Amino acid sequence: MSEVLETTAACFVWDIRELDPSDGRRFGGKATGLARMVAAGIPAPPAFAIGTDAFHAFHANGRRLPGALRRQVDEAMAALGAQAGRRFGVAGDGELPLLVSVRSGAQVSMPGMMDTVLNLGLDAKLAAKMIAGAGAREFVIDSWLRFWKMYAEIVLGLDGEVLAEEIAPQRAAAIAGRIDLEALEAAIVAYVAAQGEDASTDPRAQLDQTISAVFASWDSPRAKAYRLHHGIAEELGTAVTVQAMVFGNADDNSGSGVAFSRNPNDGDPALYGEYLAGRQGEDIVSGAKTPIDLSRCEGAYADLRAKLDEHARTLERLYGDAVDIEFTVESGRLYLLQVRPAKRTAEAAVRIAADLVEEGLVDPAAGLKRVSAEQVKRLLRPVFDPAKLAGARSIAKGIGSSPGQASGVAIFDSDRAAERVAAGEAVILVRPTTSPLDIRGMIAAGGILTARGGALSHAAVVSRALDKPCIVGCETIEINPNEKVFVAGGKRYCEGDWIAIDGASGLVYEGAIDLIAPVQGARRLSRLLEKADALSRATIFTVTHNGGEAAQIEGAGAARAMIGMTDFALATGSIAALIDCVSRIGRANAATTESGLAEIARTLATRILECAEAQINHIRLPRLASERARSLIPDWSDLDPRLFLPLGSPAFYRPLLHGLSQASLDRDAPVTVFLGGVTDVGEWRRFHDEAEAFPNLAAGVTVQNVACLDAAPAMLAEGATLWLDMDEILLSAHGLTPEHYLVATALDDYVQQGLMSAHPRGSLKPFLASLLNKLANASGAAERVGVDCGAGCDLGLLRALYGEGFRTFGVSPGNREVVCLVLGQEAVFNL
Amino acid sequence: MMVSGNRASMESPPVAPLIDDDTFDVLNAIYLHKMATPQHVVEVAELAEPEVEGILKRQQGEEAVIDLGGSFVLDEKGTAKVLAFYREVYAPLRAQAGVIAWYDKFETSLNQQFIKAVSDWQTSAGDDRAREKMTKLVERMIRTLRQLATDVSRYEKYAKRFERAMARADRGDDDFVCKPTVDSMHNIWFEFHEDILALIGRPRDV
Repeated sequence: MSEVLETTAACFVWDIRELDPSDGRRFGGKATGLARMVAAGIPAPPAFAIGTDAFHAFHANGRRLPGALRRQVDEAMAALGAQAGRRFGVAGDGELPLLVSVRSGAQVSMPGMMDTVLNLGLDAKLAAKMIAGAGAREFVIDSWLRFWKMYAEIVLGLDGEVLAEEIAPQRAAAIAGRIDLEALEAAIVAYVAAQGEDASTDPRAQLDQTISAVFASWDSPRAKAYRLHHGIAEELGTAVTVQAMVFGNADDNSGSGVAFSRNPNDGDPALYGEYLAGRQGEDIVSGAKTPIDLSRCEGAYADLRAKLDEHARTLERLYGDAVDIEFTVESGRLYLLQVRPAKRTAEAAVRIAADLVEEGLVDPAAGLKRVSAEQVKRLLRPVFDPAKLAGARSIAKGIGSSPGQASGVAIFDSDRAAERVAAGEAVILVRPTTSPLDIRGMIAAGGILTARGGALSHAAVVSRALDKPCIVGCETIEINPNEKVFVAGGKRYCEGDWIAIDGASGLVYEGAIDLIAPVQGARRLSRLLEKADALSRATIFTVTHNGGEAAQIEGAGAARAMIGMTDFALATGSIAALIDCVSRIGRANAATTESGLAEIARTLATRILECAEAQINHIRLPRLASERARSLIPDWSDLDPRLFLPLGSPAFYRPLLHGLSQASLDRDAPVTVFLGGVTDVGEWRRFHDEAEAFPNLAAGVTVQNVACLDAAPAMLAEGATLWLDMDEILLSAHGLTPEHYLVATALDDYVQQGLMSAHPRGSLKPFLASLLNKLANASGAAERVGVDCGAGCDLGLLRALYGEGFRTFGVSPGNREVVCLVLGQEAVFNL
Repeated sequence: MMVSGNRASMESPPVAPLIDDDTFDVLNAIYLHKMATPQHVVEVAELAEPEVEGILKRQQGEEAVIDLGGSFVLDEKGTAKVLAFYREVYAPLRAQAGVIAWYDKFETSLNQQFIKAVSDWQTSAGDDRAREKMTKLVERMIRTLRQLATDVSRYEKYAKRFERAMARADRGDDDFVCKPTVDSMHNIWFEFHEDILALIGRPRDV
């Protein structure tokens, strides 16, 4: 019995076919993933794992490999060789030696850990045998040097690039056959020794050193800092995976490739990929030779395609996701080397997620996790109106380096661009090239066009980071920033002339091109979002916060709408008439003023009901004490001061209620009217009585400050419908002015400087969280309390409020999809 | 040649009086960042806050900097001061083969590889390998920058900035990879690039 226990405890090494894939703690993610694949019948090169027990034994043994581990590695290498038909460290004439890769594998991958050493198993003699056996002298030498580069960097802590540069002459000489491989090896060893390091040329010793380096890298400063930050246990330790290398250049019946289980560009559910006959994987990346397109079923490769397709299906079931596969064919035998969830475009992400759910490969909850809010935003980014684009004249073509489409006036100087944007203009920054000195203008502009530079230029990298359309290397235009002109196709374009750019195609157009919401992908997205709605059980209202959003309401197809009368007055041009009536309150001809107000309210409400076409209509009354009213109304301070109190002036709110009631009756659509700025349950009672005295109207309260939030449960208990205006609540709670709050960059910069522990927009102070929690738990909250997250809806705040139990949300017209996705994901997270 | 601080020993004194090292560090931080808060200057120039504020106040008085409500930009006079310092103080280094060779190697190997790695990471929707490649290049950059720190001691400050940005990125804060509005790895890299171009007196290409 005790002998069995001892044997078990001392078992450090496990064949990948025999280890328990659920034991991630012992074998790490890489080995268990590989084991799952092998168990499902995926052909992977033979491999074994060294478990974390060995890591602990290594530390207990004074950071040296225990003897028992070394013996077990010997046995495992022999078994690996037997499977691969090769021997490690030995090769007869015409025989290829066994080469292996060594990878680290912790349960959680982390920065600073040793990653991979490839091609371990060669010395000068074995490399010579390999050349004799397989030909390809240059390939063998480069494979060997690739090992040395990684080994120097990872195991010896040297700069691998510098090593490669230092021995470049000897490499060239060895490839040309002017020196033998021993001389090349001696040059490497001499360089390493000159750096004060000791390098063994014996593959077996190199293997031990590499395993030790994996174990030691657990303690690298970066890995330690990462664990500390993420609360990952120090004693977890890391495993090691050793796998036989296979060669796509072994003979005519060999090759390498990459395959995606679905098209990563558009999500089309068909195998997609490339195969390069007679080559190793690196050649695909370097674009050295034209590969075979696997999406076309070409005769000689139909069999390979069929096999890959079959494995791709198996892997999709294992991963519950679309995958990308690196594979090699060695002497007619297919091996899958690496499988990962596939990278994909936003369009593909949505299609893949919707398809995976409909194919039954994953449940809706898992499907939602396959799409990010960022991808939905990207997919819904406005595009050129195709009707307008058809008539647009293209004047130049550069390299499209950051996708997206934009129109604006051409501005040639970054500071001027920032000024013009601040003045409300749409700007395209046009520069010969950009540098950090242009950053202000780049941040402000809607798009960037440069004459020089490639896809790696400053302009390209920065605009991608800013997610702005950008064209670089547009060499057919001549820019003269001093004269503020550019010339394209013989025509001069001056500062202030409108142009449009397409950051994907690289095309520059003359004039402005209107942007519209994209149609592509919208249908699939709505299929996916139906699943999100079912999971979150959230009710979504489309809410306006300004004139711009009110203008977007028409045709938006909102089933429920919460619309501000002032927003709509701004959007329809009736704001001046409204202001005029308000300014006359308390002066002569009161009856005329009141009937004027009622008529404006009736007209506005009629238009609101027509445009929104919603089944449920909530309408917000104007609030004359707001910052916006102060800036809109000339002589605001001369107004009757009672107007600044929510119910201070019946002469103001009664005509409005009357008009709203009339419109509601005309259109046979009940309306709930919301009053803002109140703080007390007594105000709610009065407003309820006043509003509900009018036919077809119900009353509600917009909660805009902390005092009202405190009174909200009492209002709710008395039957009120409530909207939480989170922008106003956060403003009042922090005492911020709207300018500081709404001009996001100013507050962002302030928070970034470390002056506040958290961003007021994204996280709640404890006293606010507690007030909101109390309200969320009050009876009727799920049905009668809506949360309006504001125009710049913070997704973190949205998640937190959903977590509190709120289920009704108000979102801007353009934000609906992202919010639905995030709420669905949050529901899944809380399952 | 060993240069103490920022200043090389000069054979002939410059015509106009040059700004001192600390003032240069403050103005140069703004020059390279285009518009900078005192907080940013404190971090990159490694000077105490009151010191930075004092220098900014003096330079404002001399019309070298403009206060745009908490963020500073250089006026023409400020830019002239910075460029004169580069020109005069680093003249001896420009004649030195070591720094020029260092720069040429940086430009053709590390710089191109890094920008490509950042670009690969951006266009691959956050591929881990591209990211690891990028971070490795920053680690190499830190090592190679320190070779230059004997000639230009303030370059050690870039190494520290890189370390801070890398630590933030390691913790999953992706903004510190290449977002231009924070002190990201790409941002530091580009500011350094501008710095070394000004130092050796080469015009910027692309």
